[in-house]
Amino acid sequence: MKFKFDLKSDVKKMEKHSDLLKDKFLKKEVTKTIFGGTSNPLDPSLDPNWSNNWSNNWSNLGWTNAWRNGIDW
Amino acid sequence: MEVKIVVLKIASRCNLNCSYCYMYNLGDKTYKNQPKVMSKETIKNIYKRIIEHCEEHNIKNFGIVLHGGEPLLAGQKYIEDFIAIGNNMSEGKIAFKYGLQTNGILINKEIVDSLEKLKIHIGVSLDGPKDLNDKYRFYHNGKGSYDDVIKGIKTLLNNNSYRDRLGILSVMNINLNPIEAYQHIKELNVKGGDFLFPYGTYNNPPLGKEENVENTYYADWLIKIFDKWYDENEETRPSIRLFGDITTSILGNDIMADYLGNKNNEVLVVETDGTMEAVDGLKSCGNGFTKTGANVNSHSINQALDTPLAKLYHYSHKHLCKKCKLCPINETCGGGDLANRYSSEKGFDNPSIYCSDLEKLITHIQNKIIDRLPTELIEETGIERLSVEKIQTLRNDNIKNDQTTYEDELLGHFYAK
Repeated sequence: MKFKFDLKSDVKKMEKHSDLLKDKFLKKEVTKTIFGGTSNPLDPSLDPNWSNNWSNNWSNLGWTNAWRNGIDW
Repeated sequence: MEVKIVVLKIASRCNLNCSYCYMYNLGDKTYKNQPKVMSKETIKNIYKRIIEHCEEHNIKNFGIVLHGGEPLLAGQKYIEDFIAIGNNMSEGKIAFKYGLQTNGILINKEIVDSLEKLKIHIGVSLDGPKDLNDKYRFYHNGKGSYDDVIKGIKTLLNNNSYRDRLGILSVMNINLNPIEAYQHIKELNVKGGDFLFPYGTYNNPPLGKEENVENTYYADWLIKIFDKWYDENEETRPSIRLFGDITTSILGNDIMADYLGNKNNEVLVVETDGTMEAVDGLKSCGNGFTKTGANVNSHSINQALDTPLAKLYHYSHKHLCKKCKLCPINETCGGGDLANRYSSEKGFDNPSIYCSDLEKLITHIQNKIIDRLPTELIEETGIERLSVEKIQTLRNDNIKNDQTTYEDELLGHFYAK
């Protein structure tokens, strides 16, 4: 059963249909997925968290919260 | 094995005495042997070990979480000196990213300004409205902590940097109305929060799991919040980490978190005396359970990782019991948090006590995501809508048809001898 997307085979399809996405949260998450973690696909170097993995650990939420909202110092 | 984050118990004591705390009140009493704050020598040795590890594994960015006990008991000057030592020793070769998890009580403007200059990300622990928070999160004399924590949060929110960055961590309490719990986080005007599953094991189960672990009280609680949250304006609602993580995973990304996901847990905890151990939540499995004997004064990070518990934690989403191994959604739930799988009889060779909850919650969120994705995308990618019945049927069929005898040395290590 395929219940989640497979980046190897599905990224292009996600890109193709992403314009149809109306939900802003999902749009942001799908965009990040397509562009490998960056919230700024036009210039990933402007996204301070771009070089990080989808690294969400640990219990310090301030950190991951900043990451989710695409901000750094 | 690589570590990219260390959690440092810079202060071993706490000004609060929360009833459920895994540091003090879930069976582990080893904090009593710890110095109150980490010594300067230990701090230097920690940085030495981190730098050595980063050089060996070519790691450029490294996370340091200042933790406790209550880390602010160490004092503002202590934290400033701490970071200065790291900067001097690394000579700019490693970019350290700092976090601090606090109960918020000692926060004042001067400390906030100092932490902002040091670019330390802050998370505050708070368990909901005053009556509930004060029932579980209280001082050693029994007085509730809510009013003082709120004062600290407000001071943080008066600072421009922390207004956008602060996150609130709440341990779930299924006795509280979930919408009230969510509204409470929202009303604080913070940008993000999360609800943590309470630590507990098969021997020492959390609220609601005493009679059986098959019920879904926690999923039901979270689903009520999710549905409200999901229908709110994305720009004004707080981000909720757990919901974001499950969404990210459903979209195909790998997630590194100890409570779910599929990546290795690249985290190590350093106690106040410099001893290194697997994650501190495992203290809930019993007195001294996490002790390895490795200390930054005499051992490298690699040596500390070379113990069964550290290895099992590091690869916790790969070393799964048979039920989880054959479950179709294990790439997202990852078998749940390692500590929540523990029983004194079978060690960690069990599903999580929250297995039914994770199954239901992941199913619900996956369905809601599918509802808002373009039909064309769903059809082209062949994504199927999950249901709990479907998961269970598939898993049961897999178990029935699987004749493999699984021998997992690490899981076997923790069986009752």
